[in-house]
Parts: sequence; C-alpha cells; structure tokens
Amino acid sequence: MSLSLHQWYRIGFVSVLILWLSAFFLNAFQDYLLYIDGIGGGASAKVNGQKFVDGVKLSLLSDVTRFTYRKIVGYKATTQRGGAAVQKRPDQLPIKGANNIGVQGEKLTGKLREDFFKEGGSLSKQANKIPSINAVAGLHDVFQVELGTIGNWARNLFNVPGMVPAAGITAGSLMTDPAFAGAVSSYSKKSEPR
Amino acid sequence: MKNLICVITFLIMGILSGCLSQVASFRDHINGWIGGSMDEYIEIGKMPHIDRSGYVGVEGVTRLDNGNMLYEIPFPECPAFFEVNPRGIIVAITTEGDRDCY
Repeated sequence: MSLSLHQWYRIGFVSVLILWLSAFFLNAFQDYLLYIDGIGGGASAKVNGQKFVDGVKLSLLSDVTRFTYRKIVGYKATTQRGGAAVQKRPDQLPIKGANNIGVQGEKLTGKLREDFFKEGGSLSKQANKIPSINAVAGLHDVFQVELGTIGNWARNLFNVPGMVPAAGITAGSLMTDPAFAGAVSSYSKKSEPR
Repeated sequence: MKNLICVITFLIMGILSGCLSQVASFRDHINGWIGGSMDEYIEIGKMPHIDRSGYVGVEGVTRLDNGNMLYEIPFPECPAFFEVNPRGIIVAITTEGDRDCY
C-alpha cells in the first residue's frame, strides 16, 4: 500500500493534533486534581470547625511542596529511616531507601573515628533514627551535588543557607503524612502546660 | 506554643541536615579510593549521577608498560585516570594538569 503525499500530510496533521490535545488535557487534568485536592482540604477544615480558606491553603502548600520535593530529589519524601548506606561518588544523587545522612563520597574504612561523619558512619546511623532527617538530608544532598558543578566554593557557601529550604520543603511535603503529623501532634500535647 | 515547636523542629532538622549531609571534595574522594578495588568502584558508578543518567562507565582502558591498567573514568569537569594493578587494586589516581574534575 502506498500513500500519497497529501495522505502523509493528513496523517502528520492528525498525529500532531492528537499529541497537542493529549498534552493539553493531561496538564489541565493535573491542575484540576490540584484544585479538587485544595477544595477537599478546605471542606475538611470546615467540617473540623476551622476556616475553609485555611484548609485550602494548607492543602495546596502540602501538594506544592510534595511535588517540588519529588521533582528535585526524584522520589517521595518519607518520615521513615533509611536502610544501609550505599557507597557513592561526590557527583551522585541520593538513593531512595538508603541512609543518605553523612558526608557523601568518602570511602568507608571500617575505623570508627575516620568514618564518624561519613554516610554509613556512626553519627549517620544515629541521626538516621530520627524520623524525617533522612528525607531532609536527601534534598540537601541534591542541592550540594548540584552546587558542586559550579565549584567547591559554591557548595561551601550555600551549605548552611541550603538547610532552610531543605527543611522547609521536606516539612511541607510531609505535613499530610500521618506519621509526621502524629509525631508533631503528640510532641505538642506533651509540651503544652496543663 | 505550637508555632514555637514547629520553628524549633524546622531549625533542628535544618541544622542536622546541613551538618550531616555534606559532599566530599573531589580530592578527598579520589584519595580515599587509592588501595580500593576497581571492580567495586565501577559498580558504584552505576548509580544515578547528577545529570540523572545511569551508568557513566569506563571510557577507555589502556595497558601500561609496567603491566598495570589505566582506566579513564569520566567526571563532570574532566576524566580521572585510575591506575590499577593486575590484582584489581587502584594504585594511583591522576587527572590532566592535576585538576579537580568535580
């Protein structure tokens, strides 16, 4: 079967149209879900005796930070501790499910003092027990690895300032995580004066 | 009170993450691998890199006059050359012009 030039044009036009419409509706659908989630958050707040707008804001903030975390790191934030640390190069990204806390890129020697600050070292293992810290460290690691392409100076200069967005985005993305919310809530109740 | 707890939680999380999640310099990284296994190093290279690609791989292997092998390993700025003895142990790591390749 041979097609004429005119038929090829028609096939090409229809293909492009289908692709364009798919892309348009896929994006629109994603936005639509975000709004639905926001309205759901508002409704939930209203039912619980809080302001509708506050619920919408909280829900959207949670969605946006969750999306941002996933986009930057490549996987979802979790309160759970990481598994065993995996040896990495300094230009490699954090690994999902592994302990990403500690200095990345230095080979473990098996000596307590030399490995103390390294990923998989004793400090890293202890810090890994704190819920959510591995998630914050994962995001901070991405910042550090990306900054490393500019130079060591950039990595050192933005190490401390980078902590703030890393902690903020992670906390925001975990807001709706039952484990995180439960931990904050139980801690708040304990600290409140009776 | 709740706000204060949230602020303190964020600060602790931030400080801990910053203190504990640093990245070693290129020099510290390569110096730590002298005496290590080349096979192990190649295996590590298979994990996701900064450009989100998979395995960057060994770009070239040449045999030296002393019987050792020279592996060319790509880094973001320039390649590093790993001299490996016949037992697979890294004996030296060099870069062109002694540059930092990351």
